[in-house]
Amino acid sequence: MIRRGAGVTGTRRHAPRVRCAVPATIATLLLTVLGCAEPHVTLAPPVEAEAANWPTLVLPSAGALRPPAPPAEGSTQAARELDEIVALQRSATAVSDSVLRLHEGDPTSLWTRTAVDLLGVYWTILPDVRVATPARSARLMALLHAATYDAVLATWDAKWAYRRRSPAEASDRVRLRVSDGAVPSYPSEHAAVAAAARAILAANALPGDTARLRALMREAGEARMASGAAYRSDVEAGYALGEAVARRVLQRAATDGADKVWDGVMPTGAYVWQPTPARRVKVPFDALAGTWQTWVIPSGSAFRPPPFPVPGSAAWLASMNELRMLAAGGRTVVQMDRARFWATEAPTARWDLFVEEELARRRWSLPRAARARVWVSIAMYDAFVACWDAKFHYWLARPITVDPTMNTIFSTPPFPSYPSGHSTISNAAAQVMNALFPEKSREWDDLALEASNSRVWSGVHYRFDIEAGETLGATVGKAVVARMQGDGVR
Amino acid sequence: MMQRWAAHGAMAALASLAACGGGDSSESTGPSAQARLQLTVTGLVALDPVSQGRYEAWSLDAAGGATPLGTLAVNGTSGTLDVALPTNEPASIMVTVQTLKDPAGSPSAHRLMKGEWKGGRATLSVENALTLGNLPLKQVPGQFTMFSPSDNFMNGYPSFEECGVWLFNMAPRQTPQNDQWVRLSPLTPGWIYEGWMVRDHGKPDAIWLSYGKFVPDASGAITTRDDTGWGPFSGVEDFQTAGEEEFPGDDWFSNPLGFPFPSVLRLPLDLREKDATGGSRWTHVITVEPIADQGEPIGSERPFAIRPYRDDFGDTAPGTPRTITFRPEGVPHGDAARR
Repeated sequence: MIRRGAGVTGTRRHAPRVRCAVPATIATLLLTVLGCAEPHVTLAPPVEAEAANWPTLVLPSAGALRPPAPPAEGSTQAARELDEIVALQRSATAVSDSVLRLHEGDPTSLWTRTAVDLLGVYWTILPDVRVATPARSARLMALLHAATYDAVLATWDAKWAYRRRSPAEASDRVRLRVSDGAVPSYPSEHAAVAAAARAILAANALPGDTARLRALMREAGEARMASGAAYRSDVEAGYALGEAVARRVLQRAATDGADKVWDGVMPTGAYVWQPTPARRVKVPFDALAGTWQTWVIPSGSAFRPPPFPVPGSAAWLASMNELRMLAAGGRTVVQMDRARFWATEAPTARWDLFVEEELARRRWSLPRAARARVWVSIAMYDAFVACWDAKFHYWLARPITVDPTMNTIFSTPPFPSYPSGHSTISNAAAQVMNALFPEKSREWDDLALEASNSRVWSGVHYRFDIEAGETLGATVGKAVVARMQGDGVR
Repeated sequence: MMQRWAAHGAMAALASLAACGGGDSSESTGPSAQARLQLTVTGLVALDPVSQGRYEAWSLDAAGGATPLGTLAVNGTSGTLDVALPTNEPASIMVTVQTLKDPAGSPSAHRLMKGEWKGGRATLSVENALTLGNLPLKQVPGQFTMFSPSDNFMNGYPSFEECGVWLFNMAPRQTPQNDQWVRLSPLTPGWIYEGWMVRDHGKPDAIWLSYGKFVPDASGAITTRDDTGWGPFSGVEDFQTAGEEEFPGDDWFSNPLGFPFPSVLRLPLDLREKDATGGSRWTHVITVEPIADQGEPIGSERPFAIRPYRDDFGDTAPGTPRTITFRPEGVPHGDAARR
């Protein structure tokens, strides 16, 4: 069914061409002197055509949604589409060139950053809307990356099934203005990722943002046409494929339990969670998140940590004493700043951006980069589910409730204390990052440790919260790594 | 080569002597009876002597002991003082704001500027007087944000966002601290920051609306609400105790409690309002105020002389960060010299 791209992996199928009407030396001179408005054609990353055979997450296989064959080269439709591209390139401006550059390279990176920024706004100013709670932010990023990963693999399947040449390859009238990724053009992977990402984000975004997301998606397709890398039929097929993948991911999301509304009664008693200052939010965030459907671990309760130390015990008192020492002026400015760094966005956002920074330093194929993103996101999501199961099993009061005389350096989050979400998800993420980028494992471990400690430094968690979170997160992370490495990708 | 180095060395030695007042025996052994001290300060505003006090200069000895030098005469934005140089050579010169409540003969807590006296000169700045330690005022504090939570529970977001301003970093990754909290230099106990929206800034009929006073924590982060809490013009919320926000700021949404409010303005405010030329009518300003201003009645607030941060509000959409810009011209500074 799938025609393998044997011999293609790691090599360029063809060199990108920049056609000029003047001899190369003169052109080079002119470009140098004039500073040339032409966008640079960068070296494409490896292709990895065999990614069409990698296991998908939601689709049965990468070829499950294969679109019909594209218009034949030389056909009337192909000629009409070439005319459209030529017209677009004639009307290019510095502004339109900057848009081409925005949509060059790995499309999932752009949409990841867009999602993180969107969640950052919701996290900061709309906590009560509860779109961007810690658990929901993690869920959204896992859905986004599952959809974009499957969308990339689905395009890879069709690309090597049809092996369509890009407009710039097929016609001397079209110039390749940015890299075409050295892959067949049908369907457009940029359009597929954009459509999949837009659908996932729009399903969770506020109405005012959905139009902006659609505009970004449309811009992606137009940019690939104007760059000479894709026909309109490539783009439209990419949109259709991405939307179809997103529909399946959203179907899964519709039954993962996140829509259920908690109508339980909070337990009462000593050391039981109560609303915390300053906002004193009465209904804790996502009390049912521990029951949400997981991607890898059997359930949220599969690795539930043992009970927290008995109040009054030595371990309990040691944790309280540490917090009191910090509250009484024992925090350094560096500790305060790092605590704020980790508290500024959903903790998953920090790790999503670490992944982006790391991928930006490497020349990984689109499928391989998408694979890295999705497994880190899944690890953090499953870790959140496991953590929330424990939080709402034990309902432990926050330190500020146990000792109201203590201060925190920002408001305590509105949900129970044990174990720490930051510790759990950071250690899960670090496990996957260690497997993906092993030469930097010390760095990931250090970041996870700092994320953990930041919660004690800020005064919102006990030491035993973060220790339990570290153990839980590492366990979830190892389970995710085992699944990831079972996909046969080396 | 050696000759050139030698010549350079001799010149450097001469320069050092000159800088130390070399060659003037009266300056190397102490001030003469005729020596005078002249002090010039710029960036001031005239104070109301009854309600606000006066600018007073002080000579400080090495142990911090203060000797009053006199009251500055303020003309426009400049203040001057010309007095006999104290018999004992000063270690530093300081300017304070003295109110009628402050005891005579000792500097108040409102230490405005200070400078080390060296070689018969002192350059006075807010460091180590207004700001804690030797910290300068922050050059890149972060962002202010157009945001009006007052009605978001009813009308969703965005809705009437242009009637409020809040002090937090909407785009943390665009700030040096890479977090949500604005940073301002911690102040000495006599001072407090105050945030304002100013309509027609710089014009005689400018309207200054305070959104409250606030102080950073020990690390300089603005982590708590201002002294008017949720905001007196935020609507039906209990603005002092609602506890709905963790940052300084206000919504000018409605005025159910009937606080004094300029009659030319209509609520909800449109902070993106433009003038006839298309320019922004509203300006965001952060001032430094004497701590004694804390608790002044809502509607009676007036800005003090120290106005280090000022930015046009602009017309950008909700969710867009607005950068706080340091304005050195808004910070008083001075020079003292022996004459």
